[in-house]
Amino acid sequence: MQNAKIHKNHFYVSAPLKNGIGRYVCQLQRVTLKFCKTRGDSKGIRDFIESYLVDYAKSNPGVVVYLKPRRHRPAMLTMEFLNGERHELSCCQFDGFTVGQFLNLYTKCSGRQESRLINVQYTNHPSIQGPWTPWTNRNPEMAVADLIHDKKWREMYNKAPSATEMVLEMFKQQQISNQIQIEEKQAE
Amino acid sequence: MSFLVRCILKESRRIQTITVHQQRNIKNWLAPTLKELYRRKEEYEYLHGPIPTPKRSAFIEWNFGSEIYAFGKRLGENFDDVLLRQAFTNSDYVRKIVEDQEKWGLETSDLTKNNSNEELSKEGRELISQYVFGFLRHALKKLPEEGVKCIHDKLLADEMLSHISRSLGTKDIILTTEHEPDDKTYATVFCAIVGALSRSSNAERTGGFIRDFVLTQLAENSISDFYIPNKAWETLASLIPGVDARLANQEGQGTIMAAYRVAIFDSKKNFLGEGFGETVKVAREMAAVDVLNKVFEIDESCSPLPLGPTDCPKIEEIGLKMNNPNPSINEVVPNVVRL
Repeated sequence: MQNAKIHKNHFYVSAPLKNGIGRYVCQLQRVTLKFCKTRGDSKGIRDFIESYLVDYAKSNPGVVVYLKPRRHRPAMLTMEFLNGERHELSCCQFDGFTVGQFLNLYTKCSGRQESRLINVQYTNHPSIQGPWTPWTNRNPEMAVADLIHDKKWREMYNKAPSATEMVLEMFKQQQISNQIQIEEKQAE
Repeated sequence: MSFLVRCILKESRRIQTITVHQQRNIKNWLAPTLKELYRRKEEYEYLHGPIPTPKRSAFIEWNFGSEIYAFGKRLGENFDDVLLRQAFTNSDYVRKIVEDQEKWGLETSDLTKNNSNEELSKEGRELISQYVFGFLRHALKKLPEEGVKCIHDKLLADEMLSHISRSLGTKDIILTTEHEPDDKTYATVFCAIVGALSRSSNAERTGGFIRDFVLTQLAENSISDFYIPNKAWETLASLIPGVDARLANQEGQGTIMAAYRVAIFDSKKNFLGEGFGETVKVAREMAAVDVLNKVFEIDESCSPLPLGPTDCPKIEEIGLKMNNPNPSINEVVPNVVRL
């Protein structure tokens, strides 16, 4: 896909007017069948009009069907949708059954302009637990913890001994070495 | 064409003097023609304003009767044909017809004069208003009347009604003198359609219509998006004695990324709610909104509105609530929060 096309007409999946939450409304509002009475490539659409069109109109009373014979012009299907979009399909050299299949397809379309689907799923609420914050899953005790002086927290977060501890350790070592020296002297 | 070429070739083979060259060239006239047409369009639009898009009803393939019939069938309702036509006839259109007839010295019948959708629209708007009030009061029992009123006003705003009307495909069918109907016209027509439906069928079907097309606009959204309590902390502090807001956490103070988290407790140190903000004041306000949302049962964990065909409330239940307002915010909060 070209880069220019990626940024063109993209959308998240959604139904027009929350269609289907209440009742379903067919989005195809009118269809115009344009055909020629003599051209060979209009034969399929003429067959469709003869054999299937009345059934289609009966089963879809919400769609207005117009027939527009035009001399020596190619056969066309023009679909108009509730959102104001207008789709056109050239059906030269189609057979009657194919015309019917395409019409059925467009009856079930939302009529959205042909565009790129950003993702196959969409939600207004991406997280059930709420957005992440610096305090998500943090121990409540931390709110009042003294990280520097409290030994429990220092061991957890700051493994290196503090200066005071180092001095105390040095003092202890000194005491021990002094003790040993004294003991050695006494032994002599 | 190919037949002609074949004949000429056949002839040429016989005569041996004619040679035919078929060429496919770039059409040198095409680009200059398009440029000229574009230039003329630009010039016209500069002098006379933009060229309006052609109205669908002016096309040759247009049958108003079929359109009206299909409109009703599409929505799954049996409208009275005369009433539905009246619902689509805007008052300015009627005025223009009457003026035209007077201009030509014709008598205007009362039927034409009274054919505008004004009355139906008024009736329909009243019906929508009543049903929406009834439904909201029934579905959100804990929400105070201020919230119900706020959501009701947002649903019955011209913008919302015109969006619904447009999406139902009224654009091409409306009889009006405007070239592009404005929001008010769309809203009037939608209300008139509801009025026409109530006259041509029963209250239950009308209620279902309002629920399916107006109230479904609340679906997929949180109710708290439609209603945010005004001055939440002041309300909470005045209604619940001993309520306490505490700074629970803070991060990045003194930077532009500063974030504060405030929690609210009652007098017995029970946790009520929490909120975030870029300052402590904002965080406290958000925390108070969180507490109120929990009290009104419109927080994020609340169950969805009963909009489906099986779980929706019956018209009798809604009828009881139509003239029976929910308690106000001053009554709801102290009763719900146990002290």
